[in-house]
Amino acid sequence: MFEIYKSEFLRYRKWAMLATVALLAGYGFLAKLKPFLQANEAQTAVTYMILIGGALVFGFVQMMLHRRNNHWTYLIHRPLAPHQIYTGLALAGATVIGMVIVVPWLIMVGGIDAFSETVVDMRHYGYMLFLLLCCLTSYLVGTLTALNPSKGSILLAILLLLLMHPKPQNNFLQYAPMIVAIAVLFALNLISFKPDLSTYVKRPWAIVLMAIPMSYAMTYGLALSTTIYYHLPLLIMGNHPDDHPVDGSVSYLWSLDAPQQIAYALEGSTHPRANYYIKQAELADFGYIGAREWNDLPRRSQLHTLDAQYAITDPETNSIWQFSHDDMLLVGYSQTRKEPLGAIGMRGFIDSVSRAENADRFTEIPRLAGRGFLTTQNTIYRIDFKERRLDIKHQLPEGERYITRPEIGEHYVALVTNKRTLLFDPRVLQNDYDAFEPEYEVTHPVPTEGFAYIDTYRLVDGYLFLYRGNNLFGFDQPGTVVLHAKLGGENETIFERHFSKQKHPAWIRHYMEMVSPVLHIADNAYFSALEPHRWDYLTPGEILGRSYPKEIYWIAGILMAVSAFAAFLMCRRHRLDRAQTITWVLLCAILSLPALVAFFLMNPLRPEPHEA
Amino acid sequence: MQTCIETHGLTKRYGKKTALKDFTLEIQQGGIHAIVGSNGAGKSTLFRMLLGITTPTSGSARLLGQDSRMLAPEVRGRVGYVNEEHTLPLWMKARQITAQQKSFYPQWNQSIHDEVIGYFDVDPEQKVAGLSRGERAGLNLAMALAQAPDVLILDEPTLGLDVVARQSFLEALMFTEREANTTIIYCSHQMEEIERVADQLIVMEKGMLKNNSSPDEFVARVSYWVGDFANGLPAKNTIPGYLTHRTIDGNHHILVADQGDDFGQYLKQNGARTVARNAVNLERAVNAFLTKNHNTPDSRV
Amino acid sequence: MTGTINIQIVTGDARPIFKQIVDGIRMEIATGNLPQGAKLPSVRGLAMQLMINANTVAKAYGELTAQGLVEPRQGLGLFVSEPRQLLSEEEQKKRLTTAVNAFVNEVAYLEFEAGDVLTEVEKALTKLQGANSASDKD
Repeated sequence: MFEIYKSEFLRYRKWAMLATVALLAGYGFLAKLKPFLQANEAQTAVTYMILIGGALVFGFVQMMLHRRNNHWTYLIHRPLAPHQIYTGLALAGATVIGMVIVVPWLIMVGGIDAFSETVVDMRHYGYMLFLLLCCLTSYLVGTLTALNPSKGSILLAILLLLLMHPKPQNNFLQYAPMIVAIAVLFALNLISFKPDLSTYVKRPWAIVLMAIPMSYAMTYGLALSTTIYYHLPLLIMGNHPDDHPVDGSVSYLWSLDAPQQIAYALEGSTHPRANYYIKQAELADFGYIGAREWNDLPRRSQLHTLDAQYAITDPETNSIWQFSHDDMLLVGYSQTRKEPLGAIGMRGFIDSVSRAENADRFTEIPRLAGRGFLTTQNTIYRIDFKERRLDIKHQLPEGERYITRPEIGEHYVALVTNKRTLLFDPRVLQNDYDAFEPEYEVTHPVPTEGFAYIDTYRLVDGYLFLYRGNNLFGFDQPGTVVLHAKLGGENETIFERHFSKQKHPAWIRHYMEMVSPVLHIADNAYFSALEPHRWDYLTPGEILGRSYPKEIYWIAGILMAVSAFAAFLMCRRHRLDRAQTITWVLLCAILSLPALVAFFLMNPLRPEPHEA
Repeated sequence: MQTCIETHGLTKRYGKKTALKDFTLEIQQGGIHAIVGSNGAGKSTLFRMLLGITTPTSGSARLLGQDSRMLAPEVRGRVGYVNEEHTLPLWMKARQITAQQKSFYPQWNQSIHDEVIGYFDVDPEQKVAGLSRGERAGLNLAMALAQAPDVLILDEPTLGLDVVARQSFLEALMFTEREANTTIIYCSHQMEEIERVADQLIVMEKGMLKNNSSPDEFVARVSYWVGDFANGLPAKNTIPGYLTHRTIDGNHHILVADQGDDFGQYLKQNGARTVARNAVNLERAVNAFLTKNHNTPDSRV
Repeated sequence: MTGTINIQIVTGDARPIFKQIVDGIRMEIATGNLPQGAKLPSVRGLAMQLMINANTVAKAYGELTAQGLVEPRQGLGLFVSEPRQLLSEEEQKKRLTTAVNAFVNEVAYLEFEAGDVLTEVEKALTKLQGANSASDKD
């Protein structure tokens, strides 16, 4: 095994060094353009594409080179067990990837740490581990694609989505799923690496490990397929709800001008002043406040690529302030004098980082907003760099938290919390010393999950708020609410309109749940376990507590039964043995249609010719 | 004696194409067994199934008594395989590859290696990519023989080699002093080589076994008749043992298998005015077998 | 001393290689190039000289031994034996007929009288006997 490893590494040594140097050069170039550790979506995306995509291609090419006819015989026909040969090759591949990922990153981050005042936390070094594990995952998907006869092997790249998309609440949840994914992929590679590569995996455990992620990927494939048999035909016939809004549904509002929307939302209202509001709306200044809860709640030691803001710069004092996750302080540095400026803690300015006491340290990662604003979940601070002062500008009572950034509109600054909408006079921003006092406070008439923004109409005596959503009054209960926020603090709900129609039929709206209830629940369970604060990731209990339209339950059940039965027939046709048949029937009964698609991907197109 | 290679009713189908059909063969230990067959006769498929790289559609293949589908590393260690490309890691030096192979094979015999490599001019510090085809073949053979295998399968090892390299290769293969009684399976298109090296001749055609005997016995099976037929040849499928035939200057030259002198009588009874029997050499006998079912115009063999 | 054998083999000939060796050595003995008592090259040696499989040489040597042209001496190798006839009279007659047929076939188209041909044959046979008797004296 070691000999195989040595020989294989020798093969790619030059390439690995070349890639290392090229990457280092690329990093160096980036560092010239902008602070190297500053999160930048384009940079991150390109890095991922090159490194993770590169690892996948590398794994694929590496094994494809070996599986050419004579090369394969040369490799496999030796007194070594296949799993030892694969391990040797994969370790060599992993060494190449490790070298390319780790060396340039260490040089860059170590260099920045040692030779500049830039804040470098453990997490900046840790990012290397994240990248490495992502690359190893995609590398193993690449080798599997080359080694496994299943046409669906590449779909296991979906694992990367499960590993890279969430923003887990701690490092354990960040890395544990990656280790599991790598272990699963390695096991699948080992079992696929056999003298005859054209034979499909037959072991029940391997079928399960491979079929589940593949089925998961197929849920997206099936969702996309609605384009073909739902959206496209409707578009061609000219009946698509995007072109022809359904009168009586919330989406119909989209086809109307802002003032008419109020009229539509007040249709059926018996409020005595309904007509007055409709007329007022026509004259009113229109605006809107985003109210979709932000999902980038920063956590301590999160990947630096997720940081919303790299630093606060104060042009007057020409200083840069960065938040250190290791110290939980905002650390300052003077650009002109090239020297540290101390830190800012929860209690204000500190002369130096080393003098900070525990009470100074922030208990959560604040968001850096605008010039000199810091927001935590329930407090907004204003920093005065010249006077070295930290003032609390606004604070929420216990149990309440901001769910969006402060929204600065033409006539107001809006803060949306999980309970209320607060409107402030925009002039408060210029006021240096006073705390913010809201002009309007509007308690949400419905839970925030139901709406994504609030339309505002400025009236002579306050604002009209229009809330809308397909789940405004609860799951699958579309509606609108018109509310009058009056100057002086009083609010009045004018009308709640319930809609009976929806834009799309139930089987399109709840397609994922219908096609595979179990995968839908598992998907949500996984994401909500990683990010419990996200309201849109549902726990199994939450999903099961919902009441879907009846037909969804029926169709889902029928699909599960049909998939299981079809799997049974296909197993017979392919002459699979008892254990395999049971495995597949169970998989299809539980995971429904996506597992049936996986069956077709994981078995030859035609049953293998066979004679008794 | 040990049976080195054993197949029973071995069949491999790729879709509608049958690469090997009901192939039953037994090769005992010792000697050089030459396998000839036209391209696509199923030789490669046979080797691939013997090495377990392809799974048979039906039937069984055994190598050194073990089912080819599940060869233990220990059995693989006793079976050498050399292919026509002499696939070796191009990026490694000859010395490195030798060291690597040596580590895998406990029975490694350095003196065999050195003797074989002596037939070729291989610089151990040279990278494989820089070796000529002949040198690569030599290095490959040296390693294959030094492993002291019980069975050595050589799949067209001299393909593309020049005359000198080919001669060195054959000499090294036949005359290197070896302790073990290695059974050699030698696959080639070169009749001249086959004639020189083969103890046994295995003829394959269209996935089927046509002959497994000594070359002399094989040649004796084929007879060459020239006849002058007034009314043309009888229908080919009625001629016993018919292999090929061509017409030269109005005379019919017929090659048949497994027919005695009484075949002359048969021809006379079927319209031949004169009949003569000629001798055939190995190449012609083999060609006759291999072209048997190929449709060729009368002017060609 | 091991006798050197000056024979050639041709691939692609209708005669199998082992037959060519048998014929060649027989001719060497007949012409006196291999005198009685001379040692034949080892199987391996001749195989290497001719670049053929040693088994083929062994087979040819077996045939020669069977025909009584050579004899093995324990541990020493093969030696050209005293000329003696192992073939039956019938077999000898058959071989003569074959040889004569082949010969006649060859000379038939040449513009020689039968008498000229016979003279030449006689000369050749006399020479052969002379050579044999010369080697006997060694």
